[in-house]
Amino acid sequence: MFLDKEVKSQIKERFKDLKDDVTLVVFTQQSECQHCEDNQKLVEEVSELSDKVSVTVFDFQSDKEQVKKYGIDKVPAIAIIGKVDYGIRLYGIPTGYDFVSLLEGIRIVSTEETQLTSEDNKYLANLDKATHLQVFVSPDCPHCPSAVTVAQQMARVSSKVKADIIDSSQFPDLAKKYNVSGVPHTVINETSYQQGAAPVPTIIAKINETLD
Amino acid sequence: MFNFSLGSNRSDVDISQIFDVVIMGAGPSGLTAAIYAGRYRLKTLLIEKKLVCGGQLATIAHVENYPGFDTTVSGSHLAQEMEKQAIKNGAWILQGHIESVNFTGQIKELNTPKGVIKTRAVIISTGAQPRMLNIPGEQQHIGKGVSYCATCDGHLFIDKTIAVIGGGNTALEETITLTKYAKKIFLIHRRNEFRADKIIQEKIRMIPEIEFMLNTTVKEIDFGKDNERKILVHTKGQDKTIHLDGVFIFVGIIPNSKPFLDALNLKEGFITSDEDMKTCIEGVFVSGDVRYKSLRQITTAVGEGATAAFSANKYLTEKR
Ligand SMILES: Cc1cc2nc3c(=O)[nH]c(=O)nc-3n(C[C@H](O)[C@H](O)[C@H](O)COP(=O)(O)OP(=O)(O)OC[C@H]3O[C@@H](n4cnc5c(N)ncnc54)[C@H](O)[C@@H]3O)c2cc1C
Repeated sequence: MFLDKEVKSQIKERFKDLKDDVTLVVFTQQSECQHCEDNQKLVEEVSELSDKVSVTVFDFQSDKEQVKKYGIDKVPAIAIIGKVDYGIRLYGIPTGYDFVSLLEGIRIVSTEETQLTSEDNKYLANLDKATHLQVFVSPDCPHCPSAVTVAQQMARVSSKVKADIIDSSQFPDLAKKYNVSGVPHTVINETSYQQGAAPVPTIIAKINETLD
Repeated sequence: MFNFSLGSNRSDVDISQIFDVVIMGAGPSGLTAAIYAGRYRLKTLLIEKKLVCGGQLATIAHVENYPGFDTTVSGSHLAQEMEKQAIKNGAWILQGHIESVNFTGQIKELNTPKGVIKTRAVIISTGAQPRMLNIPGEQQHIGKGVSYCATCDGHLFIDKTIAVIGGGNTALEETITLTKYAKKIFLIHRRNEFRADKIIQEKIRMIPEIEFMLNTTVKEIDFGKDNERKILVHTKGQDKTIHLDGVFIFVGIIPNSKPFLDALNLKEGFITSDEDMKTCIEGVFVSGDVRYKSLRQITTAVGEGATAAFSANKYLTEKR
């Protein structure tokens, strides 16, 4: 058991606001994945705290079709799915401040509430090019959840935006590939990036630069 | 191993009501004030601008001087325990940024993006944030090799060479944290002696991976061309270039007092108060790192948080 009684009751309290059903689609692997088993157990514990949240588990190696459908390329992975698939993924078991990202992800997918302004929403409604946000975080980074919710909210609102949240300590090679030397660090469409917990308008400006 | 944080984002608070006390900032000081205010059964709201509680405390890897925790405890763990305790004692926590305040009336008004929040008393515990060195190359490389948080970014420097700049407790403690990752650390300080507590100095001198550079100032951070990262330092009367992978800066703090500049008395940017945490305005109290004082630590932050809540309760009782 990962979550103690008190944490559970606090999560339950929050989950009271949930509206749409949420499915946490977990991808796991039998061997050579240190945290896959714990990740699955943790997600199952979370799902028990609301009847609006359920879990589906797939194997990264054998369930090829599902891997393709959800666009998963590494494990452990959690796809947070609501009425539709908004493109929100978590890579790495969330064990610290990234746990906030899981809870917020569930809330954002389930409710329509975002903190986006009407201007942000207008921009996102008109966005017509695929935008892939990869937010690198670490479990001990208290500044990271702010960057994560920015990406998750944008993905929730626009079908063009996909948001991958990646624990840089569990995927060091990927962090290296993108030259991450501080978190949060948001990679936009592989080519550009924004450092730090930047507000939505900053990310939008960066996306514009990248898509141009 | 696990240290789950739940974050400060609650939507179950009705912010149209008038609160007894609103506490701004959920660092150790604000969290303690919330625990006490909740126990006095005051209608208590704690507002935190970040998605998680803890403030600077949340960024400390190992706390060694908080009484009761003889073996080291992580700052995030302490913060999460304080957060749970505040909620348990009846305080609401809301995510929101205090942008400006109006302290002129009996009912104080706080402006946030979520709307105006009204309260009979306020406690300001907005703390502080890391001070920048303000040298060329620093600003544009924040997060690209320049960091102010060892717990956040340390793991990105495994087997790398880094520099830590600073000479106080925080700089030396964070250097020790970083030895877990880096293979070599230049500890750079502009004076000929560290300010840190003697016990930390004794500890750090035992670590072979650390090279001490006293009487040394950093003039420029140059992470520009060819992926080559270097800094320019001035040491022993000479300029010198050091090649490395990252720089961690711990050279003090600046207070988060901007929303209160016009409303309260400040000294060097910090809010002044008496020993009961009363500011120059009735019903407005201050505690923690944002307060003008000499020792800024978790212990003093929590002590003042308790005193501020006590004073707020007394003020509210007398008003009734
Ligand atoms: C790296 C590091 C290591 C340290 N190590 C130690 C140690 O080993 N031992 C020790 O005793 N002390 C240590 N300290 C110092 C200690 O962390 C601080 O003294 C303590 O956290 C101060 O608490 P506080 O609640 O006053 O402020 P903070 O911890 O700064 O918290 C303030 C909170 O207010 C929020 N806030 C700010 N402005 C607003 C606003 N406008 N609206 C809403 N919210 C706002 C902030 O987001 C923050 O969460 C360390 C500090 C650092 C940075």
